[in-house]
Amino acid sequence: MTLITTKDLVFNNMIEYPDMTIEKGKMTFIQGASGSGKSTLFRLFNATINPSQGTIYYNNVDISTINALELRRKILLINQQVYLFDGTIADNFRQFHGYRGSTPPDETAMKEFLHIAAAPFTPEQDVARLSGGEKQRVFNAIMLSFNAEVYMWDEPSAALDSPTATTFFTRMKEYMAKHDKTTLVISHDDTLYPKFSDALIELKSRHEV
Amino acid sequence: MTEAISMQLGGFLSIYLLLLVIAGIFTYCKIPQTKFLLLGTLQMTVQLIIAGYVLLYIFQNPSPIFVLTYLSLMVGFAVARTLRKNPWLNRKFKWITALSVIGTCVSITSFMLLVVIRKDILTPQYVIPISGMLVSATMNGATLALKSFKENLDSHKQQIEVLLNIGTPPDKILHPFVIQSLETAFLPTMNSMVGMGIIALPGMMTGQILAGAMPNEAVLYQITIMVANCTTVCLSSFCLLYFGARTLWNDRYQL
Repeated sequence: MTLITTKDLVFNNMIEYPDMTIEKGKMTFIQGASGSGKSTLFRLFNATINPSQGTIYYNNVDISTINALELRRKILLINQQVYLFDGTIADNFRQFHGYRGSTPPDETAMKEFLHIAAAPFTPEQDVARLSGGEKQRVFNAIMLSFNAEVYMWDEPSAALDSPTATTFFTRMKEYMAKHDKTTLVISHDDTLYPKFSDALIELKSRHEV
Repeated sequence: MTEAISMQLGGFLSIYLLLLVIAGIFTYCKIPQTKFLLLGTLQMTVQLIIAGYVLLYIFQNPSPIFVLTYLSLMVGFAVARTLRKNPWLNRKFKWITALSVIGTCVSITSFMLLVVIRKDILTPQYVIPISGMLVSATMNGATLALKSFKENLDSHKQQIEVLLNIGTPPDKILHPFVIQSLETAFLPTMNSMVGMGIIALPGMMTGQILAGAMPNEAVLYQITIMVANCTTVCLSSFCLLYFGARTLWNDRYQL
């Protein structure tokens, strides 16, 4: 089933996107040279920026007619730049859910999300002592707990070593499939695409267009 | 005015000798601000002398037009200075800042004159010095509030972006920064209030005592001014941050 489609999408009169369709429940990789507008596409999808031309349809509804906050809760963009609040991992789960106005998961669920994200920590642990890669795993676990319909991961394994990234993607893909959630991935890690992608969208760099 | 305040010209001019001390320290420490010191002192002297004569004229010819013109110029300069120090503000935010500063100064000054001191609102001897003190405190408070708000935004870019991407309403994202900046703007005024009377005799009270007023009476004026000061700083900073922050996102909740 088609979930997201775009038509004549242009950003800033510079980046022209090919018309694309994204299937529900699949893991789609977005590839293209740097500057081809991969991250920009994610930001267009969650309406933190507007296209200068064209339309994005979500479930056949033009997203510009959907309340942007509702849309961002359904189509979740997970930033390339990790951010965590001070405090324990559990505090972070609660803090983020508080901001978003959703109910934080209980301890069992927190542990499950941490497991999926390959983060071998307990919720009571303080995030201050975590390394960059460990923070990214915790951050990914929190993002997983938002129960969105679409997860757009922008370089979710940038700070992870290859085996950890593979573990995370294996468990995450399983979780997404089980809950019929759609996943979009931007990743420079070339080992991930052949193993995990169900579909591919290739963006051309500007001078090729 | 009593004789207490009159000063001999020679005595007055000798105060400038103290600048040599500062200039000496600057030269010794190689602080390249001697020119600024001299120009700054000169500018202050000229401004105050002009203000003195203009005020003298207004006091002797108390026409509402003169008073209002003086007040508008004063507030206008304060607003312009605040805006110049915060060039990052968008057009709407600038208007909100201006209106917040003007609105609070006008209302608190009116309250001071009509309710507290109970004088005609345009009596130049009262309205000009009182609003002058309030305006300058408000200007400093507003500048501090905006500066701190901007610093908060800049240093929390990542937090803001992440929270926005997960569907947090912008007002909720910016709320902690509004509060922090309000506190930053408000603390100096609070601190000066606490130290008052022990560490220093405040400027206005000193002026009144030098001019021959009884200290216990000067104290009453000082207390009212301090409370009024706190109120204008708090109210104007609150208004401009609370309403100004709302100009930072659009109806698609984009920052």
